[in-house]
Amino acid sequence: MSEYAHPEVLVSTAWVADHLNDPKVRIVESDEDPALYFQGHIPGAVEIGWHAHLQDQVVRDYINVPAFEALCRKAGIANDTTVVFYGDRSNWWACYAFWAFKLFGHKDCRIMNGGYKLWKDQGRPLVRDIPQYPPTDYKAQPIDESTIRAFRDDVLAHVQARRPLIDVRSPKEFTGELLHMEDYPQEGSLRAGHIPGAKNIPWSLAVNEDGTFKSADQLRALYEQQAGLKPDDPIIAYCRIGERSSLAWFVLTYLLGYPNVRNYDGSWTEWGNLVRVPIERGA
Amino acid sequence: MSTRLDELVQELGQADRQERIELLIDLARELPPLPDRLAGSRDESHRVPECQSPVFLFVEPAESGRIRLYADAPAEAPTVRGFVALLVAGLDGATPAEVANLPDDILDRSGVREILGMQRISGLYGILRRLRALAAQLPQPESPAKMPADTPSADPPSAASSDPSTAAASTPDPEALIAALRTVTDPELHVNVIDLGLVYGIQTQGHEVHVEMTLTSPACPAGPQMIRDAVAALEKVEGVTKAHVKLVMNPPWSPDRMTDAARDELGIF
Repeated sequence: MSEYAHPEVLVSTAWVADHLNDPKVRIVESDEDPALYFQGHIPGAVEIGWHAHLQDQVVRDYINVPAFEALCRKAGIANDTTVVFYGDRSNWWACYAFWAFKLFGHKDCRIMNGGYKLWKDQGRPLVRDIPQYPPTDYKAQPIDESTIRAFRDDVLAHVQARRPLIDVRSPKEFTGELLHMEDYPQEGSLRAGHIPGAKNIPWSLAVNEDGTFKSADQLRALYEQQAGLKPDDPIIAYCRIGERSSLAWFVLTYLLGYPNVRNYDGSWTEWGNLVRVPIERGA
Repeated sequence: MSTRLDELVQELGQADRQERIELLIDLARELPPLPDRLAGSRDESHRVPECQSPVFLFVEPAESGRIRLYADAPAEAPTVRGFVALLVAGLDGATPAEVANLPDDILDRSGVREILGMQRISGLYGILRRLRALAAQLPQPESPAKMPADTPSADPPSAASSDPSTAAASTPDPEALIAALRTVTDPELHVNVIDLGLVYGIQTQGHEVHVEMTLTSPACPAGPQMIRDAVAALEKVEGVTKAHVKLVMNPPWSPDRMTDAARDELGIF
């Protein structure tokens, strides 16, 4: 059985349990449900929420550099801290936070394999105390975001060049049978279907029942045999709002070691509303 | 709206983010477990499809025209579970009409939208819609329908229709009215308005028939044509002298009205 390409980015629940008091390590919970952290979290973990903390509340984008620095300083994260993300829903939002931290150039980011669910199912402690850490002097070092993030024009050029796309939504969203929330168009899209040429690999196929990632061999079978990707392909992953595709981006980049994968965080809520972009329906 | 629900919504709305989350966690913890007889019914037909977390709702009639509301939601989704618990705490023992008319704005007024964010709120709208639909299926104690009063009518009711002796013999057959509406299709979806679940009510007064129907979206361009088609189809039914079709947008249509179960709600009232 082959190893993951970058096994060091994945830590086990046992590793986290051994590093709860390690001053070089900060555990970060990132959830879909904003109340979950407050109901009980890993001792010493801080909350960084996709909606409350990482996203700008006015413009559809991430927070800016000063806001990101303030967030890290307050959470006691220094530039050389090992930041371990975990969360609900098989680490969707943990992967999303990991991706956002990479945009701001944080070096040592890791994911706790299995996320919140595995930690809880193993009977490990969850506490409600909210920790306070001495503030740091964090300085963000944003990377060239075009290496891991795709915008709509990049996606259009990608489609025209017939390059591979991975759509990680459910099969019904992919075929266009299911358009999210017809009667609340402000939360969904005016058009259903997928970006032409995209292959549908629902995110759930990449994880096991217990929330851990599938093995390198299983993942390779999924993305290389089933979806026909080649490791050196330039690849764009998308979903509906960019969280499930962060998980696919993480899997392809770190577990399989593909060098050229971008996450299209505008995803279907942008593409399905754009005027005159190409759309395909059906399987 | 139920006073108890209103109080809870206000309390949440006035809290800051942290307090609001704590209140939701407390509500979630206090959600009563499903009665044993319902615990085995956590299946697709009782699940809210829009919600990514498994949420199950049960509305039952109780004494003196009140409802019992039972619900289940996972502990791992405390905001969703807390919101469901808020509805149970606020609406168990309410009247079917209070539940059927539950406004969407409780998501804003309670501040739940603010903590969940725009893109994750749709499942909670799904819960509200399902709850309203379940309540609307129950017998309404204060049943007299109000709709004919504000239905514009060119012709005053004819003498025949108000005369019970002649009307009884030839009033339209409810089945025939439904069959007539089955001939009216949504030109975009190619499905008839009955099976789409667009018809909310059919009422006859002697030889006049009053239908309340909705559209799949408020901006549906085929709306006027579908209404004309419905009037024409109804007026061909034996015993109908005049058909009135009123367009309503509340409750909004949703795809779950298309299921077999939803079709049963349509009924004649």
